[in-house]
Amino acid sequence: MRYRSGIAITASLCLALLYLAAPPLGGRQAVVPDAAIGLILGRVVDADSGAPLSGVVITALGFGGDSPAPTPSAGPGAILTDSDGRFVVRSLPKASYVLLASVGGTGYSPNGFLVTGMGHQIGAYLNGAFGQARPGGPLRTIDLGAGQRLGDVVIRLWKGGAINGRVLDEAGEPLVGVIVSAVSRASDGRLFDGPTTRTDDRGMYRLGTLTPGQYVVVVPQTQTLMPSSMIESLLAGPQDLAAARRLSSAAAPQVPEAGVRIGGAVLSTPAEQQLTNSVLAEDPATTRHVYPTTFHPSALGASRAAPISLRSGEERLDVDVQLRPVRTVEVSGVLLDSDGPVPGFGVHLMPAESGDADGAGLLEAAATATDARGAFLFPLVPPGSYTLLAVRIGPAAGGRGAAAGAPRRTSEAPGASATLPVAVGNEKIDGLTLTLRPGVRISGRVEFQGGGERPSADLLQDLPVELRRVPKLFRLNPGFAAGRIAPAGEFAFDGVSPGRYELHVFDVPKPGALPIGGILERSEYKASAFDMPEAWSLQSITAGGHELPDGVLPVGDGDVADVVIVFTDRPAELNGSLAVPGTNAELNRSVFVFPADRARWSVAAVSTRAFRTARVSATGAFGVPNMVPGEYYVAAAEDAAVGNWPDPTVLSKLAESAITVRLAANQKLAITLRQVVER
Amino acid sequence: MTAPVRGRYAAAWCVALCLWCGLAVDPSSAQAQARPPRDAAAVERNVGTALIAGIVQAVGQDARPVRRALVTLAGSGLPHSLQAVTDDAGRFAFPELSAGRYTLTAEKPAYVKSYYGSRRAGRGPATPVALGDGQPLTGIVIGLLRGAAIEGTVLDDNGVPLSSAQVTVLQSVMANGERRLVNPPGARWVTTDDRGRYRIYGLPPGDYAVRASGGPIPGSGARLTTPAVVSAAVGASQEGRPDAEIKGPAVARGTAYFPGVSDAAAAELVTLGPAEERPSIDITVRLVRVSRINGLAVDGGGQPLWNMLVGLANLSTTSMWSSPGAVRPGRDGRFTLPSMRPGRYLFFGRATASADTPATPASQLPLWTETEVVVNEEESVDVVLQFLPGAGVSGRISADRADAPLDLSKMRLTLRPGPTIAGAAVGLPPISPQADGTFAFAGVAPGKYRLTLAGGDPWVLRSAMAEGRDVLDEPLEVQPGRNVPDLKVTLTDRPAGISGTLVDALGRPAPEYAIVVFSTDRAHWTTAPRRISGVVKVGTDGAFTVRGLPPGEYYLTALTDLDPSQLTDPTVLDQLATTSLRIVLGEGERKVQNLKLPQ
Repeated sequence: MRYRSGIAITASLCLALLYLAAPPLGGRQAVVPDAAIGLILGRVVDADSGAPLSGVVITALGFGGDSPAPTPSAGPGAILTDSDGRFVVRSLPKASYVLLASVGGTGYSPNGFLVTGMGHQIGAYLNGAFGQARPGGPLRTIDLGAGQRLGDVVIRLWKGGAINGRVLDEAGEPLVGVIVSAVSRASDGRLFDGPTTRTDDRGMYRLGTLTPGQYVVVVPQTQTLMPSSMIESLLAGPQDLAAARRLSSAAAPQVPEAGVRIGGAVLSTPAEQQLTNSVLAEDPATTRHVYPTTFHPSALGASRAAPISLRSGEERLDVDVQLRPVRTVEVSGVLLDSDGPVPGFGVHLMPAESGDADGAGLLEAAATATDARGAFLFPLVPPGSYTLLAVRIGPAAGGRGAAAGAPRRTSEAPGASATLPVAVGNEKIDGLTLTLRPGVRISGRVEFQGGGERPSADLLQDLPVELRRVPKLFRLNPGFAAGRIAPAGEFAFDGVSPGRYELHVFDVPKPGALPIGGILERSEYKASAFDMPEAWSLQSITAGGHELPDGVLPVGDGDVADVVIVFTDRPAELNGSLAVPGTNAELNRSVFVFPADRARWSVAAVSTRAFRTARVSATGAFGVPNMVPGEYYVAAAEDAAVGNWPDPTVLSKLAESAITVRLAANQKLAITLRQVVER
Repeated sequence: MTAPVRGRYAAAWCVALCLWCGLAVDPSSAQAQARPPRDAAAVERNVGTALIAGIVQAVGQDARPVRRALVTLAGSGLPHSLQAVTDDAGRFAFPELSAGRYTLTAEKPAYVKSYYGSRRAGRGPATPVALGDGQPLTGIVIGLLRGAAIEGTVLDDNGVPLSSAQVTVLQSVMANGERRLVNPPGARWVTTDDRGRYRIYGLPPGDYAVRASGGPIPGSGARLTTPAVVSAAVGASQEGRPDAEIKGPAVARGTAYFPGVSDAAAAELVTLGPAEERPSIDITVRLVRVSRINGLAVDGGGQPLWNMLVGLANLSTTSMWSSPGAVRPGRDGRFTLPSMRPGRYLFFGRATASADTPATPASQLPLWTETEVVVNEEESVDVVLQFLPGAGVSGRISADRADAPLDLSKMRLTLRPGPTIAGAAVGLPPISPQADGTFAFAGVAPGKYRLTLAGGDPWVLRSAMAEGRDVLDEPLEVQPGRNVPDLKVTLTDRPAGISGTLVDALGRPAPEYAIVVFSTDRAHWTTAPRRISGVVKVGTDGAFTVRGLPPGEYYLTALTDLDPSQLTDPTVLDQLATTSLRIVLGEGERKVQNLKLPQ
């Protein structure tokens, strides 16, 4: 048996790779003699107490090697551990295996995960995998030889953290059925979507199975509005699916199932999120009050929230959130494009503070649609700094008889968008003007540098090129476009609205590097290409001849026509050895590679190419293949010392004992590390 | 019962069901369902000068005002309902109303929805409030009962808490003289947390069964690690013996009712009083062996069929397992369902021998099947679905008077299958009559059916005669292979009805009462729902109106409290009959019957 070192797939990354699910490129039929079939016998234990864990689902993912064709009669491939925590995975051909372990399920329930965090795990332990030395840490693959039988594989699982508390109103009465979210916060203040739940009839909530890290707890309050005149006209006639499509393509809210009229707008009151929990009884005088989005303990902005640091298995109690009503004012205006007022278009009120946060969607203050005269009205806006945002997120459905052709006006153009900062005080604001501008075109080409065989046109066609808005645009619409590569290598995205994007590409795999379908219960877990043999790996992304580190592309008002994505069949590679005494395997030492440019650290969570880890082998060797050229810090550390990789605090700590390397295109660089960060 | 007990199947299930609806029901009615409900908020209305105002207060000893309760007003003159939120003193007001009759409801999370004037929390109908022109009606008091709560832990076979399991409560009610489990008002399911705990709240008083299912196993099951599996693996890996290649059985989490039984009839009921807290309702959900079903679909001659819409119902739990379209055989008629929990299942659906994908599937799928299979923890079970041709039901539709022309173009006739389990029946799409009034259903599976009409307004069904019997009063029974060739359907635009006032012995309106009208013919009680009115609340002015009854002899009774679902129980109707008035309704008669309660 050999534990492959240099694996950069973390368990959480495996989940992220769900998105990469692609059909295997043709299954290979191979008749494997019985003697060549191996097995793995193992145990799952509590990482802290060593107690065996029963009822854990084990899934083996195989890569490379001899792939027998899946046989339907084989039945389920997942294995359930017995009361002693034991499991046996059978019928394994020679290959590299990742063993995943999960307890509990992914959350989808009427009382949880309604807003974000869909797919967040609910379980007594965090999902894990063989080889992890800390929760969410790097895992190890098992290279199983032909007919090899392993009898001593131990998988350790960690408990998640949990946050408990109550949500109370200004009178100290519990608020029932309100949404609560644990938003993960990076040390630089950026917020990331976290799981959500609802309070019960005592106002109590629990957010469990949280990965160790720092969180802020928020009770988001998003007003979903619609002009009452629009609801009347929609309800007056027969159901108009085309109208509903037009509205949703312009990021307008759904027509509410029930609501109350406030001024000329109707505030949606879906059954589970009663009006009574968001808007207070109307003062007969002129002012109305609402509960604003509130962070624990009762802060009105994320920066003033009391952060909660959670360790594995830690239970935090009494993380209460008190909501207090605030006075509101009306904010109104008109949405225009080159042809005048734009009716039936979504307008969103985003808090300015959330500007650079992935949590922006969660914190959205209000959404409405423009009426027949292009006017929008937010009747209940608490004081604060906001950005008004309107953006087309889908194709404008052609009107009656109009073929899907050229847009007739700017508002129908793909990616048409408008933003306007608004400072709301104690006075009503009216007469605002938002003007839509069309989206721009991002285009370029893919180049292959090297002597290898270029991918076929079919393979190119299947190779995703994605443009992802950073941070996400809305809660349910992150801002995402997938492009196709033409046979000659060109690609283009039309109608891109201004903002910051990440251009995301995938390496071109070798057919043999794909997972073995028949063995996988969850074949959707496609292994990352990063450390697998690739036919072509990413070398660089440039625009106008300038390097785009991490593929981050700022988009303004003009087209970008010269994006060049270069792949190579001789990727740069970092190899070396750790010359520090100690048992590398027992100490779970790893090597961490990350950009030397600190400005890039804030994208650490999204750029998985430049932030790499590799395990140090028993002999002290490590290898990081498929590197993008550039200047990097390289540091060795015990896994347990690293914690929340790649949070900027962790990176700072590692940088202190790191060496700096400059990796040129196609370079295979060997280095020796003489320092290790200890626990 | 549509509680999504099947875990990860639930989402796909719903989608499939929606598609099916789109195929099988009248498109116009499907659209009507998809529209937002009528209480969908503000619309223009006739503004008047009358007012309804009052207070919402807690039911119980302290009768505190309930702040932030949502009060909904519906009624005449309002195209859509209005909503108001109570203030800190529990007060609400609906100004600018015109004269008419209105109903009020109040709700607040964790409380049981209240219907103004109804004696029982969580259940309507509400008493209509009569409002005069310009009348300021204040002093309405709506009681709101705090709901009861059930909480507990879901455990697995080893007594380990089971996270991510689904839990739902079912209310035990009497229906047709027997106890049944139904979804309570406002029912919902919850997921256990990372400690396996759940809490369901806001429940009205009553008897409940608690059901848990699901858990952390992938939908297609997992293989259990048994001692034999481990010992073979130890031998092979550590002692160098040949590998015995033993695999554990395929298992999945079952469904269990509190305290841990799989049979709904054996469920222990939890009796909840008003606002009661009931902790420690722990449920054990065991692993069950799952089986593979190997199926073959053939026609009467044994030829394979693949073009079909077939679904599965779980007869053991009386729930739908998968909706039509879930069973997809290959061209050889063979199909596999890889992971079936133990139970008695019914395959139901339609098929055609043709290879064309029909535009309106159900009507052009002339073959039907209803095949039962029992799955009992075997490795695999074989089943053959044999599809047989259905019968024809045809006839003619006409008006009950010659001077009124019928607009047949918008009318849709539907044969609805009789009592079915979770909608499991070989359904038929609605049909339009021809211009000459003739109509024909083809491929009707054997069974009992009820005829309904849509799009006929103002015309309603008066009678539908087949072989001397009115199939509106007793179901149409279709025998295998036997056509019903001459169904004579007559429509009327003058249905009979009764209206009047109910006053007490002193002549004051008696709004605490409700009216029930039902046929004096006991044979109609179970077969002819059109001859039983609902529970019709008397308004605050004492007025009531019952519409849409066919001619005949009826009992009319006034009562203070009755669950509408009890009207299907003959023993309840027998009791009501003893205190009833007998009345006769003639053809199209609009009878006025004023009533006075005895001293």
